[in-house]
Amino acid sequence: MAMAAARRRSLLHGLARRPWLARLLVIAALLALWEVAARFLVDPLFLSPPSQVIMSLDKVFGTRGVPAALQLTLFELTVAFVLAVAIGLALGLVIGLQPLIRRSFFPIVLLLYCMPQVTILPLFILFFGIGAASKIAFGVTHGVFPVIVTVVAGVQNLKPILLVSARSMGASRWQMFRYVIFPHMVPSFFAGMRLGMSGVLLGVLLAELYVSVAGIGYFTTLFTQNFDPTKLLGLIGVLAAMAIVLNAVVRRAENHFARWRTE
Amino acid sequence: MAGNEADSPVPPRFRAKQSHVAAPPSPPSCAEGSGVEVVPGGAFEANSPAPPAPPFPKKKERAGAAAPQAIALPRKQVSVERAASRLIQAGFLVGLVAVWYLASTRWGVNRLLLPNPLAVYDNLLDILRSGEFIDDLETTLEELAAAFALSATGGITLGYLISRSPYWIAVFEPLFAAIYSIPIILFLPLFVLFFGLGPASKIALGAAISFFPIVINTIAGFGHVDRLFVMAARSMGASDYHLFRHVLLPAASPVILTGLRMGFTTALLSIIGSETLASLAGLGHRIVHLAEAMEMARMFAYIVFVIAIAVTLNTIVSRLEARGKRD
Amino acid sequence: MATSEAAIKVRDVFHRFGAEGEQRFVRALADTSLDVAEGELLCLIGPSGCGKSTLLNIIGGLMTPSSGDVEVRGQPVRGPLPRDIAFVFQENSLFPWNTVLENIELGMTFQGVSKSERAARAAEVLAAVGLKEFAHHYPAQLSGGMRQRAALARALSLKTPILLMDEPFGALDEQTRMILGEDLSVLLAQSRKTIVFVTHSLGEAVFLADRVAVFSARPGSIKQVIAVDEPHPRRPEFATSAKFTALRNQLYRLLHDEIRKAVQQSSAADTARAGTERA
Ligand SMILES: Nc1ncnc2c1ncn2[C@@H]1O[C@H](COP(=O)(O)OP(=O)(O)O)[C@@H](O)[C@H]1O
Ligand SMILES: [Mg+2]
Repeated sequence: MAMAAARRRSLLHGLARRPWLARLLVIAALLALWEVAARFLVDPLFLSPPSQVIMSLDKVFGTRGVPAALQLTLFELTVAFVLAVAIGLALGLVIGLQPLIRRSFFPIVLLLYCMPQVTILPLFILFFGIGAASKIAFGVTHGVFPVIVTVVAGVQNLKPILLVSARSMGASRWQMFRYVIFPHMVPSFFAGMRLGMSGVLLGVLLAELYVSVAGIGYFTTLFTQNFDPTKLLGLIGVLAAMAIVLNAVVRRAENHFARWRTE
Repeated sequence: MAGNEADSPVPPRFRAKQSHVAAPPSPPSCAEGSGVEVVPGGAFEANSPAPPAPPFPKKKERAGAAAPQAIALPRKQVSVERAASRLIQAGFLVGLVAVWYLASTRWGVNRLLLPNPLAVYDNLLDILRSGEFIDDLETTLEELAAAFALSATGGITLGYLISRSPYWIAVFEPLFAAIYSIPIILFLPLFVLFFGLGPASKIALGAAISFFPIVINTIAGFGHVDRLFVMAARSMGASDYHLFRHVLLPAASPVILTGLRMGFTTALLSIIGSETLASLAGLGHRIVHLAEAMEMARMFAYIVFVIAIAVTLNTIVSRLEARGKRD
Repeated sequence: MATSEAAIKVRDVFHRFGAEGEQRFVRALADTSLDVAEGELLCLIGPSGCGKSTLLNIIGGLMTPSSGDVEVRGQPVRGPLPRDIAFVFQENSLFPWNTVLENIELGMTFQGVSKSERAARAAEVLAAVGLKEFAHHYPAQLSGGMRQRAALARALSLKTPILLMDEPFGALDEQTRMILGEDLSVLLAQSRKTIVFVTHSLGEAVFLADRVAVFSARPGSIKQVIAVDEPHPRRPEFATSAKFTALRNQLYRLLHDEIRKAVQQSSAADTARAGTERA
């Protein structure tokens, strides 16, 4: 009795000191809830239990065309991300470093950034066709703005004393950029890359779902129309997990490059 | 629950949290002239009062005025420069429309791809005059209102409850942050399966997507209140209610307002998005419908109309946010 | 006093910010003339806002005066002179993304010092300011005093004959600045640099300076120069001597009226500003 109580107390104690353990429990509870709901409450045509989804992941990837579709989507994501970052960095530097350009074009960038781009999704398909190009383009236009905005911000809010001090030590214009402005911008650039990645994911997936003749979009539509929630959930789940992992990776990099800020 | 601060003068409920909750990166608001500033957490915030000094003093000033203080330009020069950038902006827009016009009339770009801007203008006038947009607009706005009401109520309530304990913050914050990094639009097929093609699926998706920025910012807002403020209020004998009303709420509200603004923008975006992808009515649906019918000029006109509506709504919300932060 | 050739000559320097009639128009510095001898440590002391930093920035070529001339080592000043003049600012001016060592090497990189030479000089100055163990720390990991030591090390590593220091210990607590002042006196006695040192601490001025120039309230000009006849390096005992106290009291009397004037000036300016803002 006493021992059981002690053990219980130590379990609670352990829980209190390990929030991640409690987090796992919360996730487990949600999964259990889902399991029960799917088994006993909801029509299996609409929802299947997580156990079944996980058990039949191999079937999803065994479906003809799914691996190729995933590969295609990943390819589109990668190309769009690289383009968005490169273009965003270049434009961000130009806008951030040139006062006249900044005053003229930064408001336009902000305006474009907060416009709902989905409205022009049909145009992208008309202009770029239903292949990878339109998805990449739509991903780029979603990903590029956060990169521009964070780069501009990173270039901007530099303490003037640092520039003055570099100048007093004889830094050339290039050295000023290379050793002062650029390193100051790096952490916000990484924050921008993370936001840009979310944007690219959103853009590419929106286009995928809209076109749905190839890639992931085709299969989500197919599984939905076949009332096959097991496969649908498996496919979506894998993509969601991928998004979480990618985001965590970039956040790591961001923290690494921003380590001078705190500590 | 966590920690042994039994002898602290502050009751546990209102302890300032020491967790490292960081608000999620927030896209800038649409308020005119908003500067953007990066805060140490890597998140960035709009509406910083003054744009910082240009990194490179202009050539003429370089020899002279790079004082350790920020460089302020004489007023006359400022107004000249503002006029110059307005001119450039106007020139840019005029140039854009001119290129569009020439492309659609002279350079032989297929009319099915690029309609004549004049035709688009006529269509836009027709849409506005005939009032045919009203049904679609109503659908979209109703969905938006319902979705935002759900996510705002849910997000703020849950966020507040979680923020009451550093322990629950530690449990839930990373969870929400992880989910927040998923493009939830992926789940649209599921929402359609559950709720059908009507407004219900839009509302559910919009609420689900906008819930996360709101809850994360609410946790960050209430979880970040400086311990000193709490102790100062307690030392002056503030009751729980007073503490909430005069310390916690004012300290947290700027962050929460940012969350609400982000939630609103994402809700609008996902509702128009899901209308575009799978629906029977609404502005997004109308655009797709016209695209499929190849009525390009009318579709362009609707795009302009929807963007104008969205930008107006976002600007109003940003203004409200800015005003809320000032008070 | 100025026995040898003057290292810095300031002739009738006047400076204003903004144009007359503008709101931000300020006469920061009235006609000021000043010689600093080779190897001398001159302290500038005066009410805040009287133009001390402005004068220092003008000497260093970071600002051009509205009128008047400055000569450094016989050459008229037209812009920054990184080979002759090194700065230590009041504000933390270390690059936060670089470690202490990287910060020190960066200044030399700007001047094209070779890699091996950079390493050698960096080690030397780090030892001199007592920061050897902190070479690989980031500025954010250091205390305010350590940061200013690092900034001093960076300035010393440039091996310039002239050092301009703008309230380098202004943001530090009294005890830390006492220690830093003593260390500085020892360091500078070895290097025999020409130094202009801005401070608002009477004690610091008397303790460090060969001469103290007292500024009047804005628009600042030099009201009086007081010599401190005491060999370097100054010992801690100097700070408790009767001579020290007498000099300090003399400075206090000179400054007191000016500070009152400055305070009245700034509160009058505040009221005026508040008035225009309301209108
Ligand atoms: N860049 C500037 N623009 C306008 N006024 C300035 C600027 N820099 C300094 N001033 C003004 O000039 C005066 C002298 O400043 P400063 O030299 O920094 O004083 P000190 O260093 O003696 O405290 C102050 O009134 C200050 O407000
Ligand atoms: Mg000063």
